[in-house]
Amino acid sequence: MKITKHLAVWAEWAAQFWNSYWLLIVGSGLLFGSVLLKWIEFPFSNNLSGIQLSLSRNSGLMPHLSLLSFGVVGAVVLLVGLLWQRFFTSALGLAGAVLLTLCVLTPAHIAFKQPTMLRRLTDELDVIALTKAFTREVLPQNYGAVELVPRRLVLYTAWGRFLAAWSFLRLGWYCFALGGLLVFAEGIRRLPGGRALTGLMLLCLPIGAFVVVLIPPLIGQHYFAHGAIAKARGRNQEAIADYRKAMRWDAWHAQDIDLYSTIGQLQEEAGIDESSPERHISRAVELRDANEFDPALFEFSRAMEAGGALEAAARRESAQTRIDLGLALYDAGGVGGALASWQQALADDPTQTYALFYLARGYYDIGRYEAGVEAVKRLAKIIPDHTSMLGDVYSLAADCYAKLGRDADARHYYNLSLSADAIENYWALTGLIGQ
Amino acid sequence: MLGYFILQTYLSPQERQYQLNFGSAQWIEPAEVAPIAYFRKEIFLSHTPEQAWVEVAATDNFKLIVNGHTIGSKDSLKSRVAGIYDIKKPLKVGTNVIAVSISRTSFPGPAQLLACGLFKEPGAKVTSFVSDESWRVTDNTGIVQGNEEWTSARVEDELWPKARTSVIKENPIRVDWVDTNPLLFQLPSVGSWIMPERAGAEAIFSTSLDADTMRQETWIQVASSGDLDFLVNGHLVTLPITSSVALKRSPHLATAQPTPDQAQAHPGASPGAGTPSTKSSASVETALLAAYDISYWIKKGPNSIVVAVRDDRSPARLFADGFLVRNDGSVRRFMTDSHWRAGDQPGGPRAAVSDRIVETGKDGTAPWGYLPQEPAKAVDHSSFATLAKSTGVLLGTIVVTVALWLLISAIVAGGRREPLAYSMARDALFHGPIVVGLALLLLPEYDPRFPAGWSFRPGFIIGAIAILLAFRLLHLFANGRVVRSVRATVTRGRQIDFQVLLPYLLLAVIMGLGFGLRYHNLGYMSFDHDEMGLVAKSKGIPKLGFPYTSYAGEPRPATTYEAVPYPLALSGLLFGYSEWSMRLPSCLMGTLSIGILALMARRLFNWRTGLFAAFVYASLPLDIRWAQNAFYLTQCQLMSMLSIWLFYEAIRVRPLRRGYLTAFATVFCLTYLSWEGSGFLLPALFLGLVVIRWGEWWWLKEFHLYRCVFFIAVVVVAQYCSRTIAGSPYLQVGSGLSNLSGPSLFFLTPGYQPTFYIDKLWLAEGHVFFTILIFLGLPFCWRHRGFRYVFVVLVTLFVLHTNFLAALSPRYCYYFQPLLILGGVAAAMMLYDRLVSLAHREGDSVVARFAAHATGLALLALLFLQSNEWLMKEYKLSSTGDTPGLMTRLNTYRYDYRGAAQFVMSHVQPGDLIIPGIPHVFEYYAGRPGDYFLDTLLGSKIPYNQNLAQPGFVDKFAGLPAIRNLTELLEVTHRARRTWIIFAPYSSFEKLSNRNVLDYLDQNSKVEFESYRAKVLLVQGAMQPGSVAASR
Repeated sequence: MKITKHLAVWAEWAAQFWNSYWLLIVGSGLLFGSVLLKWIEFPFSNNLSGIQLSLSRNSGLMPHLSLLSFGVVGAVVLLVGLLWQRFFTSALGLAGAVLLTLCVLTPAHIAFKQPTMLRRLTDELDVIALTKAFTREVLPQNYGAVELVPRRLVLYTAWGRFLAAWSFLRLGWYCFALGGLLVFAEGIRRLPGGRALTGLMLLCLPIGAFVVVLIPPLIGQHYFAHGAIAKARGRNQEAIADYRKAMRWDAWHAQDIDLYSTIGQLQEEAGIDESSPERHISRAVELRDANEFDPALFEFSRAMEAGGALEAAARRESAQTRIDLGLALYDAGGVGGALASWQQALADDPTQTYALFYLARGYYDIGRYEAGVEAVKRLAKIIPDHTSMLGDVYSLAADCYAKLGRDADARHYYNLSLSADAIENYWALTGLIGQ
Repeated sequence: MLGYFILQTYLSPQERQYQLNFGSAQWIEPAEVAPIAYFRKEIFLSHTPEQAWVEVAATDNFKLIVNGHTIGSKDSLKSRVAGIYDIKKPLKVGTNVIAVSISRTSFPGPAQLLACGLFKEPGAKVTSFVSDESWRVTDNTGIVQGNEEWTSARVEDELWPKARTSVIKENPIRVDWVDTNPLLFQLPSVGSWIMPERAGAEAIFSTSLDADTMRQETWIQVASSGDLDFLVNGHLVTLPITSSVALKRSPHLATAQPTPDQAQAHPGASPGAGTPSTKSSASVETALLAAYDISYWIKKGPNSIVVAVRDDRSPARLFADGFLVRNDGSVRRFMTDSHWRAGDQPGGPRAAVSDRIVETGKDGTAPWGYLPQEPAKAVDHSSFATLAKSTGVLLGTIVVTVALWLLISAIVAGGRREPLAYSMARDALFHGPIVVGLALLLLPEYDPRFPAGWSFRPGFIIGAIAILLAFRLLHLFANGRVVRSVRATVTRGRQIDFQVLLPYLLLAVIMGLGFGLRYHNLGYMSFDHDEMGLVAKSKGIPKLGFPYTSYAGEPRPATTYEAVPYPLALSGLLFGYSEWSMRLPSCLMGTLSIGILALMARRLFNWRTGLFAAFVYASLPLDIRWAQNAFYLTQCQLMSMLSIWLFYEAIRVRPLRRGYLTAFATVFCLTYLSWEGSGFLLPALFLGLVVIRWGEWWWLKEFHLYRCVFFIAVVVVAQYCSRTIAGSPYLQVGSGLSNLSGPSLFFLTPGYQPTFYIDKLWLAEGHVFFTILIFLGLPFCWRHRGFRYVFVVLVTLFVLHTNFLAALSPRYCYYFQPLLILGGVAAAMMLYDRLVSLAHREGDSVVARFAAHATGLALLALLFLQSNEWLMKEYKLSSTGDTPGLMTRLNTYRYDYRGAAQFVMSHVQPGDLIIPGIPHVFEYYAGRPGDYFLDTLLGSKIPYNQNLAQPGFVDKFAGLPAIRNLTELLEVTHRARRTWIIFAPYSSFEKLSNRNVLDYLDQNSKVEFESYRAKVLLVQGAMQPGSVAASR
């Protein structure tokens, strides 16, 4: 009886607590839960959770916990808001406003502050098409459902890039946004009076922050559009000047190989800057599009001598060209040359990790099974979130082990493949059956 | 709403659409009624044509193939789709074949075609053709001898049956609109290739164009020798920079450039085809005439057109051809010629001699020849400025409307000497009919029978504003006396006893209508594989008392949908086994659902909501279609609705009503045994309870609640155990839905699709306005207990299915779909009531009540019209556009297993082997089992049967030995005299078959029969005659 009475008292207290704070409880639950969920989905490499998406730096290929991440900062802001609420009535409302600010800033951060990340996201999107074609044409088939990737994006406008960044955001961010909204609502509800005015004032925080982040890319966009019109009018030097201004205002443009190529083309038309790095890039892009890879690589290497943002862009493009060269050689039967090209690409730009996918298959083709397994192990650490591809690379490792006569390891990897991708994974199933 | 109309009409680029004129062409069809048809027409050409186009219209879909090259395809279920295409590129000197394949899935009626075209050869020789009885048509490609494709010119189409003219009752025959102005293809080319006299690698060309009106319809087609930038009045029409990423493709080592002849011999092989401006290295191959609609940037008077061309390897050249359409429909042509200027100032001083423009030749000039035409790819011009503009227009309209409202209210209040609140309320009500009227005007925008942009005309906006202003005159007639007399009449009416019976009578009528709609064509379609699975299991009930199928001589009990076969067994016992008798229980349960929905809505809301929701539900195509199907869905939905209703009745009052709770527990168990996924109802109902009894916790002490929960838990656990135990004796390989054992953290997996049920439920065809109204009504209706209950259960089920069930299918959300209808209708009714109450508060004047009722009734009309095909065909009103969802349109066939089985049985001979796609359906229709089961990708689960003479993997339904690879297939086909393979369902058969097997079948079999999503292939053994069709 005593226990029942105690239980009833606790239940009543819990019920009253729930009634009073349900907005805060649900909001906080969503917010704290969100920091561990997926915020950004990379089409190829590791996804990012809230505690891995850094506010200050690029999270890289192997993301780690960052103390200055959106998730950690959000959680700290909420805790501080909860603690200070006893001394400062609008602390929770303010915390809610800061959380909303963080939420609004996330796509803007990816689109405008971390263009390298957006570049990697969109590059991986393009790479996926190539790896799928490679899988379809070269590898045994895993007929399971493939992952859905976002549609092709418009990247030449600031608005398009904002939408592109938004399209990569996933459940974690949405939970964070909803949690922030609920906490903000609770904060406003708890204000003693003048709620509407205070609420509006607090809402100025996310709006203001967004506007501040938006101004430089908008200026960049203005110059870019102006440059495009000048180019269409044949005013090449004016166009070049506008494009350079756009690059100064918006780091995205400063990393855009197509813009450098366009400038190079305009310089050529205008007969100026005979051996400028942009002209090398223009020639390199043209040669690469004509599948003339070696001269294209030479032109990229000339462009890289310029240093700065241009060097980084040229280096990335050079590595991608090497991967393309490898694929072309592989297609033509030159597996050895392809392997050398992919290895060089990885050495030039370690972020081009999808070369590992091709490398693993190349090693298998020439009988270097141990090297193939090593490539798979490296790759598996980078793509743990992409089960279809993970299933394929595990099956590839299993094939290597089978060739080495290590049947137990082969079975283990086929099973890993099936665990990663259980649906219609014909490759792993037939491997296990022994066909 | 008005702001949206203004935005769309004046500030957004309008997409124009056109009706094609087919002249004297006739609709044609196969001589024997068939849903699949392959039409052919041979055309002989003496020279490569300078102009060639073809217009095609067909039922449901078509694929146009010219000389083996696919030119275009269109698909729109239950429409007569149309298209116009330039076909210069694939045509050659000699015999050319125009081929059109049609695969119809709507019924009744055969595949039908309407076509016409024109070829103009140099020397002004014009050949035209229309569809008529000279066309050849077949309903299967097996008619072709040898390995030739049916589209090949080497096929002797004299052997093919002739088409016959269709008799179509529909008048007028509505053909879909097309996006391209047909004049682009039909007008002869008049432009010239131009270049500056100095022949530089870069050239800027400009001209001025006089337009009669602002945004006069203007089209221009441009082709260039290199990169192209195109400005109209300073607005960039093309992409700002050429993106190398856009051209990304599988890389290959460089090869020698193909000559123009080679390029012509392999059209479509050029990597950048379709892009109007590409790098110069590929320019010779890819020059094409890209058509732009530049009307949006055209202003009245002179317009500047500036084009920049840059080509690294040859002089920059431009070709352009365009026209303006006058108000009377006539056109004014403009084109590139020596009158164009060099430089970007079309109206500037005449250029120096070195910058003069010279014409280098007409269309057809080397190296490009006659230019192929294509609509240009759309360029996305949206930006933050677009967003700001849109927001500005919407906010501006709101501000102006509110200001007018306040101003006029103040004037009226002063004039009439009444309280300001009265005139404000009355004036606000006058906006209602306009808002709903504009919403109704939006509907044609989503009906394929109307052209895009039909709703956005200045006339509608002016009309809306004029009516809104004119309505204000009604302030003069605001009078309360008439209202009293009307009210007195209504009150007298209420005293009639008949009124008590009226709702029940109306409900009976609605149920009668619903039954009629569901009963019509009940047995028309063949069983699908899902239905057949349950029908097969139901046959075990009379023998052993539970549903099972036989496997390896032993009964294998049903481990899912356990409760569904019982009504089927009863119907089978009473009426025998047929499509009609097996679907009858569904039909009856679907009709009962109408009544349950109405009564439930009556208890949660009121009779009006119940009757209208029932009316909408009775006419909704999705619900009609599922009620014509013997699968579990209708039963599960009926039980779910009952569960939700009974639970609501149980928790509605304090203390909980035990009888209802017990009934709920029983019905819930039946729901769960109809489909396990409905188990999500439990958490949803729990949340519903929390929300209904917000802040109350007394119900936690209700012991009967725990008894019911325990009972439910026992059933759930027992079902789960039986499923596991029943599956354990079988060694199986392959994939299947039975891998899914229960809820999981689906949202953490890569296959997670958070928007799946948004597309398939909230924003699906026929559902959109219910969703809009639910969320629009949320602030107004949240206080209503019934609405809160419906909303919470609906949203919780949506969230649970999206996040915790690792399998996605449109049918999984069907059992709670009536809640969406109920929520939407309830919100509409409550908004209606609020309007009437506003009118009452205003002083009950006739005009205010009229406005309130007009708005409410229009809102209900809007809900009804958008939800079914009766008047409007809102096929495009969904988040996925004109892509029909599962069972969303009436009279569309699923899979014709019956036709395929009957065909095989009428042609099978001793020594033949049969490999059916779905063995148990074949066995039902053929009256004999098949011989083997093809599962080359282990796409469906196959158990191991150790009791066979040769133990091996077998099909789980009919126990047929499974063929798992090409070797086994070859062993079978070589042994047999002939092998019949039934590819049904066709699409998944292709997807779930090994590529080697598909290649083998492609080379060694003939399609002998085709029907709705089904094909029958015949593989000849050694020394056998040709196809059945040929020997007929």
